[in-house]
Amino acid sequence: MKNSNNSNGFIQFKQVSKWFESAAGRFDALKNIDLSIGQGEHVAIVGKSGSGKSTLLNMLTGIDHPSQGAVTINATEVHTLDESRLATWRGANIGIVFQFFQLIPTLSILENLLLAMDFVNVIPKKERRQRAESLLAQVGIAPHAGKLPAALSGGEQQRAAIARALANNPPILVADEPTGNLDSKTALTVQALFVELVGNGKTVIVVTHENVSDVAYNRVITLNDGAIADDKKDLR
Amino acid sequence: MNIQLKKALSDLTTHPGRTALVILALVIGLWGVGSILVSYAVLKSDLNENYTRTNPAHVVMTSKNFDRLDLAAFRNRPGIVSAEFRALSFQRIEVFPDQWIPLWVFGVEDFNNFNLAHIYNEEGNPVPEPGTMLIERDGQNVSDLKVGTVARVRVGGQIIEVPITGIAFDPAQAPASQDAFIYAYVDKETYTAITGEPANQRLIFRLENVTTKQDIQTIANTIVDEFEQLGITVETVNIPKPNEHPHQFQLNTLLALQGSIGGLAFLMGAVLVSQLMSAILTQQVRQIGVLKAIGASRWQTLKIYLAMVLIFGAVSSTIAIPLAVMSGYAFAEFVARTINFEVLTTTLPIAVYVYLIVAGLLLPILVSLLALLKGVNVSVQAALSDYGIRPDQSDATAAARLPLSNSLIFWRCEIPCAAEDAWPSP
Repeated sequence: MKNSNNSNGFIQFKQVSKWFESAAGRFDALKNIDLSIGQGEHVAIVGKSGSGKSTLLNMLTGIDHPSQGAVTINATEVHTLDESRLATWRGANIGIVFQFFQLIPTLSILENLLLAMDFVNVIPKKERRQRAESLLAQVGIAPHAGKLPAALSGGEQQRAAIARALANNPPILVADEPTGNLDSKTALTVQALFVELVGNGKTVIVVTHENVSDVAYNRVITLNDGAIADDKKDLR
Repeated sequence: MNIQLKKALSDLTTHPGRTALVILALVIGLWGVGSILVSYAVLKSDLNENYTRTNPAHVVMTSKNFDRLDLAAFRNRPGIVSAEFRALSFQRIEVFPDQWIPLWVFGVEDFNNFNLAHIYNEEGNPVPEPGTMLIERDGQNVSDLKVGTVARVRVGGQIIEVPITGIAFDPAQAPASQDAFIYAYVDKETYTAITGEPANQRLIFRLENVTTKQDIQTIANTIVDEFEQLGITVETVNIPKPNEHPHQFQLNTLLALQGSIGGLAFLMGAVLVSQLMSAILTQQVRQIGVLKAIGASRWQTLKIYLAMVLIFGAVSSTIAIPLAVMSGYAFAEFVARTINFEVLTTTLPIAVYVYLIVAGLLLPILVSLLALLKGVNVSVQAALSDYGIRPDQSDATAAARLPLSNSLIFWRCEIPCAAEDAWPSP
């Protein structure tokens, strides 16, 4: 088992453990994870089902709290924030891309982006529409801005979801199986988009089941039974 | 339009059937309660207003010795506002061929100058000519008597024919149709001619500065003593409840009953709203998780659903309040006809509208609040894990099969959760 440390330390996990109690007993989802991810890294987190990938992302995004240890992101101790402060912090600092896009079905694509900006309120009101249109253009779906999500293909919806994740210009983008529900051609487009974002200075962390050798990740972290089994760096 | 409000609106218009059902429930409830509130506002004051406008007597005394009373001097007695003789005799009248019912005959001192127990002319002569009589309008509901007909009045064993020359309205009396008798009004001479009784054996008067029955009773007792010294033996003293129509209690009971029914209707509507909001929130648990994941605070999430309920309330109020005002007035008119009084309130107090608007807007929020708070308080993790686990996940680990596996699946929605999320295959 390897633990990872990076001198940059933009995202730091210190002795993070997560366990769940149930009638069946205690289950350790994460075990003493020490991990440091630098700004601008393109990281893939891989591992079998139940290896702890999603739990790791829960800790990273503040969606769940560690049972033990500390998660610090850009000098914020995420594990100490309450739910409301977490929501605001998350909106401004982390863009989340879901496997099934999770766009609000009753709002247009453009409105989905505007809603994210409205919640977080870091982008001035006057600039929001222009920024949303610009992001949609960046991900290549500007002509679909006024359409409802259901009118778009899966690939287009995922690109819309990426645009929404970028709406508040967060420094970190996390994606859980972002291409798991897309055909291979569309998946490549989305992966290329992530590479472009990394090129623009974003930290992109992707949980994936897929073959990571096809994508230009510069770091691949392999989890096994809640611990880091391998951490390959500087791959690109 | 604010984008959060737009989301609330969009969610409502996406499910028009469900939205219509909630609005219908609220409209029915608010309409029911509103009708009762409006009719209550009208009836509560109007029945008494009808009554007090007649300047009703505080005391009714009977004596066979009132011929010894100097009425003018009594009127000048301190504490007396006004006094007059208003004789009353109980006879019978034929309302249909060979159908006789009780007749209350009042002997009025001066039809041109009612100081007490005012009656109003509705039809025909306001002042009956000697030998004729007026009948109270509600009596027409239990007879075929009308202006121009000749009533047959039975006094002892004798039948006297008395022409009817006018219809009067006497809001101070209990409705004749309910008790199945007729009120008639004649001048003193006609009274004596018909009944054979003197017209000055029943004294009615009104007192100054009295508010309770006890106040009136105290003064009445003093007056009885004074009359005794004058050689007038008072046989009966009747003190009606001051400034309250004899049927006010009936009306209050009716209003309470109607209010209960309206309240129950509204409660049922509110429960339906609460249940539907719970259903909406249950359906949108995942979406709540997504909203929070993209930066919505608990309050921002709550605001969206509060806006939804407010929209329900606003639309329902817009429909229900005018209906409630119309049906409330219609109900008040019906009750007024039944109890024989006039609806006087043409403009509802602003407070009634305020109550209705507050009920329409705030009560749906109040009844839904618990469901809303429960819905938006769900953690992001729990909300996003609301899908369940992929059923065909053949390589699921033992951990994933544990009850706690939902905690581990995070965003792994691998079952398309609702039609609203479906997207065309690429």
